[in-house]
Amino acid sequence: MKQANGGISLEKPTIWQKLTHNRKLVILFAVGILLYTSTFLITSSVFSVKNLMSLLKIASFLGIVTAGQMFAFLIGGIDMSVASVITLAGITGSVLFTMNLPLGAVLAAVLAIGLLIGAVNGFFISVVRIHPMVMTLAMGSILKGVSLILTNGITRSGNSSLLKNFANKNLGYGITGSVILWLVVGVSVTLLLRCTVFGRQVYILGSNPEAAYQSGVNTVRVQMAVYMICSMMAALAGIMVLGYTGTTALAAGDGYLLPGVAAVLLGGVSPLGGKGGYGGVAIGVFILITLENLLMVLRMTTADKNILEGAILLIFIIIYNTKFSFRWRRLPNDRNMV
Amino acid sequence: MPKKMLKKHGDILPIILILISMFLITMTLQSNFWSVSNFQVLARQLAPYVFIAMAQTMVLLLGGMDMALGSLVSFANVMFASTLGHGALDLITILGILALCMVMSAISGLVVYWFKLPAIVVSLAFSFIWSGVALRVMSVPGGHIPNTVVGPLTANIGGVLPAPLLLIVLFIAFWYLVKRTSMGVLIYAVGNNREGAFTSGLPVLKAYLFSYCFSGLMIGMAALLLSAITTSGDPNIGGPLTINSVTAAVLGGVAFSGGKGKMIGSVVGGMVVGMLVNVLFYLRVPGHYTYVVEGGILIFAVAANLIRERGKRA
Amino acid sequence: MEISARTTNKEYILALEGVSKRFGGTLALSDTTLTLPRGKVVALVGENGAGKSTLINIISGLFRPDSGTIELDGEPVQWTGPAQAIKKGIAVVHQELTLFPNLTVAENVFAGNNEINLRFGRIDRETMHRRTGEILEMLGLKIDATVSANDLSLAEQQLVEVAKALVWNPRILILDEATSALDPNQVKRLFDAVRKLRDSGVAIIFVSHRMYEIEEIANQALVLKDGRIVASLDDEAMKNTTQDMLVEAMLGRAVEAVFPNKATARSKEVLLDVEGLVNDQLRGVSMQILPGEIVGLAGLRGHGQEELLRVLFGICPCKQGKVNLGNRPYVSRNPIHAIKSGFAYVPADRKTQGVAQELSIEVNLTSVTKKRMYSRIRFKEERDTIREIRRSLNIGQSVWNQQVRSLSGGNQQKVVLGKWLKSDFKVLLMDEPTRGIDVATKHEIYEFLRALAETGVAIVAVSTDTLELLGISDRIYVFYEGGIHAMLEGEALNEASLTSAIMGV
Repeated sequence: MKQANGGISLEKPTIWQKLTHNRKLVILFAVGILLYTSTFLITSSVFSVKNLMSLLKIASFLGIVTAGQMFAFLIGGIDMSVASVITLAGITGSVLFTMNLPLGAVLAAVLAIGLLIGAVNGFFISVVRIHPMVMTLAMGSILKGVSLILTNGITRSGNSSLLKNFANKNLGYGITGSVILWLVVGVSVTLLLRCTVFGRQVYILGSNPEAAYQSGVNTVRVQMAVYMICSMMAALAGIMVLGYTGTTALAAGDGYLLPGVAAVLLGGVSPLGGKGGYGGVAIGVFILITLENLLMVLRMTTADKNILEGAILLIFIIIYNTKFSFRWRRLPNDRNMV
Repeated sequence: MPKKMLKKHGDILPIILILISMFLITMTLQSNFWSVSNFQVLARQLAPYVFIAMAQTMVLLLGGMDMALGSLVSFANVMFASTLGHGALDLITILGILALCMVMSAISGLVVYWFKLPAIVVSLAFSFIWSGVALRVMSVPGGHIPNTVVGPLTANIGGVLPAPLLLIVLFIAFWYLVKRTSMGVLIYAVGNNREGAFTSGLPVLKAYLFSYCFSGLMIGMAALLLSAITTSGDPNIGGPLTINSVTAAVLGGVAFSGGKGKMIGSVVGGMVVGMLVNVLFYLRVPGHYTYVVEGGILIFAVAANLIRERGKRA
Repeated sequence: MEISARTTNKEYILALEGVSKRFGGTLALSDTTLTLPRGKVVALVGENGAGKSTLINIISGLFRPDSGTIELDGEPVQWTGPAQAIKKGIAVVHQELTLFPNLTVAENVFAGNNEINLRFGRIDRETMHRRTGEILEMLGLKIDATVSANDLSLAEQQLVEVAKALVWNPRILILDEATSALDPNQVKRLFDAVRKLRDSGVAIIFVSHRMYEIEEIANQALVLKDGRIVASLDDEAMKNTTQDMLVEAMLGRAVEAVFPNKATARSKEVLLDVEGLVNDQLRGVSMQILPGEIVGLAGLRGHGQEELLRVLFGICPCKQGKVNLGNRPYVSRNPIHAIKSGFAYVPADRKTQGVAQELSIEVNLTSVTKKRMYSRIRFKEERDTIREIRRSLNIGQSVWNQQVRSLSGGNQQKVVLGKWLKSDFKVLLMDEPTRGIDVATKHEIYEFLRALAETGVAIVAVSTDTLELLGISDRIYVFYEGGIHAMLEGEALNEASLTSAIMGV
């Protein structure tokens, strides 16, 4: 197998080349568009910006959670506590609102709690070296208990009209505050991953922890940061859900764990770490929500919905993996950081 | 001699200590704990947890993880509840459903094997599929398990030995026999280094088939015993069971990376998890604390194990 | 232990004809035809990427050839997988370790081998342990067969891999870089065993980058270049072939002196001063390193040299001792601190410790940074830096954003080196600087190291390749059982002195 010599004269790729050379992403995008357009054909309805926006509104919460979960996957871990964090965030926010605290304070408090939970997770995972699955499962269990204990006397559901408006009010063309928030989160996360040293280190850590350690990456700090971001995103989503639904359901977070993981996987992020980016995840979220919507309109039973979603997830995973099983290709490789 | 034994079996030490402490705590809180009838009831209620612990262990040893365990239990449970009640035919039906569990589990394993995918991810997809199938069989709780089935499964043999306990012992014995054969070494080898196993000419496929089929059988048994307790079917019964099974196995010293761990550890872990869920309920402790305690014990046990292992290396 | 050679009346045990293998756009092996005689050691020689691994993998059943035939004992065969090939008597000791860390040595050696099975597949542990002990003894390995494989040193693991292959009573034994982690002593014992096997009729294929090993053990040789066999030497021809001629055949051109010149002027100020370092592997190590010199650390593997590097870089703890770097005291804590103080480290195992294989060359080259964690990446600056590094090291790259994984071993090592170039280090610590790398790249790296030293940094290199050490080092410290046994410089830098010092004489 010949090697090129020197290789200095590699052309700088054009923008179009950069975007399209990640095959996985292109296919995913195509599938997303296809699925979305097919909903109109199947339900014989018409495209309207309003409908698209309401879809995005519903998707925004999952979108925010998955922004955090993606980080955990990128370093080869996982956060199974996001559901409980979402629930707890909603409950805490509710409690604080009934104490008539202003929105800013409540938001700060809830996010701080998220950061704290993430820090605890991060500590046990990076310093004590408990496996992320185990630690976050345990933490999820603990937080679930805490949520139950907290609600056991407080049945009032506090809320703030400002929050409700943010989550629900139409700011024009059907865009709600939550969608904008999702956009902001998505862009911030992408910038973080692609343009900061931290983002680079996340990929290096996920790809080869030992090499990262020996290259001077502060593995403890990176892991702590990752899990703190993850829990903070979950907390943010939790408070948004509170605003959107107006109540605190104990099962509020449950719909964001497994579907969140599914969306991250659909988005091409490898559970082994080191590969993937938020662009794919966002499309994955969109596909998942569109699918759910479509199936709901088709009156598909929960049973069949589950089967279909499981089958689609399986197919996608298989497709992604067979693309990687080719070891020695000399064509442009998948770009890691989109 | 004791030091070598500690090194070899030290990973199940924490969980045994935890079990003993739980016994002691419940003993002080409940006066009639140490009675034969109480133990019999306890055995019946812990048995499903022991079986799911064993099921998860089989997959963990191979280097994977089964996230679809709970859904498969739900499926088997609703199948039992909706097809039993035909007298002598029930035996065949039970065997058939157990076989079906083995096949379904094997399908999952084969996908993992053929496409070389992480088991967590594949089983996640299958958990959706199996839970959907379970809902198709029965969309709301219902069905009935006839007394002719419940009876033998909850009986006490010779008036003393609970049937579930006997079943557990039988399966543990079977596993330990297998462990001493080349299949046993094979499973641990694959869990240690799948690529290396393949390059060394080991029949990796056989390991996958055996482990996943055995796991499926354990899942079916768990569902069977659970059905005998609830005497009905519930398509969501398996919800928390996946997490319970992982907790039980990890408590018992089974490594996430694969190729390491003892079945007896998981069995004890299953007992601990089962006790947490049941006994605390017994003692009228509000369910909320169960979750906190379960999470706390898990963190403690794993951390203790890790620190012990690191101390060993220093 | 009895090694039986099943004799047949066919002349060659293995014959390949017109075998080709393509991976995507690359023709890894083209139209290969060769015959393997019984009872000979045939060296397989070639640069990285020449097709050796592909050839071995095809013979051993891991890959299926796209075209051509393979004949075993005159009968054509088509492997469905390694298991079949093993059962037919082809055993391979691979470059990558295939051991199972949580199994015992005996279980590893007999993995998949059903000879020791009783009824129902039950394992006869007594026989298993006994036979394992026999093989280990023959290889000179004094370990308990009930030990866990992950408690073994790298060299011990490699020998267990050999044991694993031997236990199948192979008719063809392939050793792929099986000596890379072994010291001269262990290699000698291994070669004794190999000769015994050869004399009983086993055909042996030996792959190594160490020419002197090939000279010592091989009867014949096959030279691969760019996927083709360019030279096939039988016993007679082999006797008349020198190491240089082999290298020439491999490279296709005349070989220049492999080693660059030694250091010229030397400053008197000590750069790195180590005093009395003690931990559970080192018993009081002291040395002084001057700027601009390349110091070699020699010794049997596991006698403390690699450990010293790891302690200096902060990977392993040290209990006692003082270290001064550039006149300032240095306490080894962790790699981050080491890097900040001015150390750089190239580990022995680049695949698992040196590079993130799945990521691109660019990301790997910029992975060492003293910038703060949340600082912005300046892309333009970075591109220039990367270009510079690639130019000075001549890293062969063909595509934008290429994965490190697709590079040859030599180029990967250049990436590992390259990531340190902009980090302002004072001392470069290298463990096995050119292990598993082809001769041409080795030369490039030696030149580069010398040029690096000329800029005033010091290089400390651990190697079990005595010729390499003698070639690049200005001075050599020889380790023996955790302490420094001798320091060789000037006249004393010769093979005889070095070898005896390594043995503790």
